[in-house]
Amino acid sequence: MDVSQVIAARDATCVGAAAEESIETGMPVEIPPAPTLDLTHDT
Amino acid sequence: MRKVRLGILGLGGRGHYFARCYDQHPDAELVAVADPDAAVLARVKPAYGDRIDYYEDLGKFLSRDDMEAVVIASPDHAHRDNAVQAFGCGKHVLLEKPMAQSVADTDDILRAWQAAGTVLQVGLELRYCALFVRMGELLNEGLLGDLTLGTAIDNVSGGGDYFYHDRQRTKAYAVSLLMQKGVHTIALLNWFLGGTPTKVYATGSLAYFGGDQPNDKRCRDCDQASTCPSFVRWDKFLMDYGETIEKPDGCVFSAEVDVNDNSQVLITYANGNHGVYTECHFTPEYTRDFELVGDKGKRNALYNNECNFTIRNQYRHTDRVDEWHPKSAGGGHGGGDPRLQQAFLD
Repeated sequence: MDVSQVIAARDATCVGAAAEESIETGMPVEIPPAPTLDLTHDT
Repeated sequence: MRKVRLGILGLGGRGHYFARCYDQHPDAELVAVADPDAAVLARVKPAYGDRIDYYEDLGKFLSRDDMEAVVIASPDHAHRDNAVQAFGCGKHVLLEKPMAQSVADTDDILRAWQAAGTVLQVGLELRYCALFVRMGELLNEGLLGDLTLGTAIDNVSGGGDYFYHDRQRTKAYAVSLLMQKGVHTIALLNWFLGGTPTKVYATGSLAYFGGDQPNDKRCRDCDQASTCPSFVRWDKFLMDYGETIEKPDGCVFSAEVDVNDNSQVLITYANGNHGVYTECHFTPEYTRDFELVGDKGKRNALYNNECNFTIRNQYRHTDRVDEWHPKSAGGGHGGGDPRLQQAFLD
């Protein structure tokens, strides 16, 4: 699995979490950027 | 090829499935399993006998130097701590979805992964399903021009069976089915639209499940079992990846049910694209429907558990239609499960 797929999994989780928060509050929710990772990381 | 020595953490239905698959895999050697519940360990022991070791203590399990990889299939709320601890012990990790139940916990996992310098594979097996592999190839062919809009619908006919008979029916445990279930399809939608999601607006409700039944009511004791459309056999429940498991059979109309059974999510991406995701747990069919729109045409794709996959392109200002019907190579989740398991070993 390359780094981009890991980040994609992270982003999907964040969309779900943000969506639940949005449902609760009735407001749009911003998704923070992923932490800066060493993209040369060998997966 | 040298066999990868691995262990399984968490022996619910999915964890046991991973254990059985890797125990039979020619490139893997299952050496240990761990679960804090001794009764769960005792239940799986007949399948593996003395060939593997059994741990209630997670620390002892992860400290084995001869076990290089771990599949984490524990409850979602434990993913963050389990993954961080596994990376701390230098393990390669296959982490079941969702990665965690919050943005902060998910990012903690990423930082621990980077510090460990090992492999992280997330259990989003649909990426390896033949339908979505072909969708990925088509993205590179540019037939639709510039994609700007995508819609994805999770029609979860079995949602009641999967989520509303057990602890996942409460927000206190599951937080949201948008993560437990939705991440599969949301991850695909994000991929197709090629962007980083930056903002979300969502609505949802509990429209079908829940009610006023006692929280301890079970299908096996219910006098309406013969007519209830949500009745399940606790001792013989068939999962969509082909595993028959024991499953709690709490009443889906219980008072404590509070996770939404339908949600609609608008997603804004950093590249200016927009996505719409809908999840419904009381539809007649079990499918994933995708619609992608570009400036040259539109693509519809259908996933179902029967693996009758269809991709259909229409183009603006022409009658041309292209269709593809990718064939599953077999295995759960449209062939995604075995390919994901192999990818982790590779």
